[in-house]
Amino acid sequence: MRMQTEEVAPGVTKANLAGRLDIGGAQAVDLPFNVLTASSRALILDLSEVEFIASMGLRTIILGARTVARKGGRMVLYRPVAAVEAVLISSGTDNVVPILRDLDEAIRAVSG
Amino acid sequence: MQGLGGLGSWVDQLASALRLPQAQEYALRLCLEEAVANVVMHGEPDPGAAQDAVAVQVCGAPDALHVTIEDGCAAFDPLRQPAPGGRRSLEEEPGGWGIQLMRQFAASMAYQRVNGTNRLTLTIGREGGDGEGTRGEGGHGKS
Repeated sequence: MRMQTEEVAPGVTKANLAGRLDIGGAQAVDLPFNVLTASSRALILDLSEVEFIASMGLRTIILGARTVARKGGRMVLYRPVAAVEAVLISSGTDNVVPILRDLDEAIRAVSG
Repeated sequence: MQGLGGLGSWVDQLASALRLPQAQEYALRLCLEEAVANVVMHGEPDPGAAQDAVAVQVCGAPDALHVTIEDGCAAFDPLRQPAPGGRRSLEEEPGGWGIQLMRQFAASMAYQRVNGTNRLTLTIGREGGDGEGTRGEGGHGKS
């Protein structure tokens, strides 16, 4: 599991995850992701290179979004592949962390 | 296979050896991770257990994979656990979705308590997830 970050608009960070967000992947990314969410108020989590997610990965996402939200910020999910999106939807994760497929729309959503 | 860390690479090997379709590989990976993690993280020790490890067996067939997961923890029937409702708030408990995801990705699930061992059997179709197939339920008492 790898994570890189980039600023895609003023004050808006996009975190690009790549690999499997399974138990091992979640453990590998939890610390840097926690640091990121603790310091972000506008965060786009790019899942386009995440090939797998299960409940431990969902937990990582929910806890990260909660950290951002508690500071008055916003986090959205960006372009998950179909299989990952199916897990996000069936677990209701998309009810509390929106899934968006257009970058400009994602930037607007977290900037609002 | 020792420890959860080896589970992913074991599934890699299986998927390659059995030439699993992508959707079936996803479903297998998800179901194994959720089932084994559930035992390791939540299983209550049973002093009289016949075994103290988690044993996983996968049998490939042309139309489906047949998966058996056995552990010696206290009796736990995942099929009797209520399905969580749809998430409505970030403040809700962030976990608890493992069994529900297994229900979705397996074509069938069955549980038996056999000689002090929990036995969970799963069928995973070639089409993988969103299985809404039959869900059998085996005997519940110790035998």
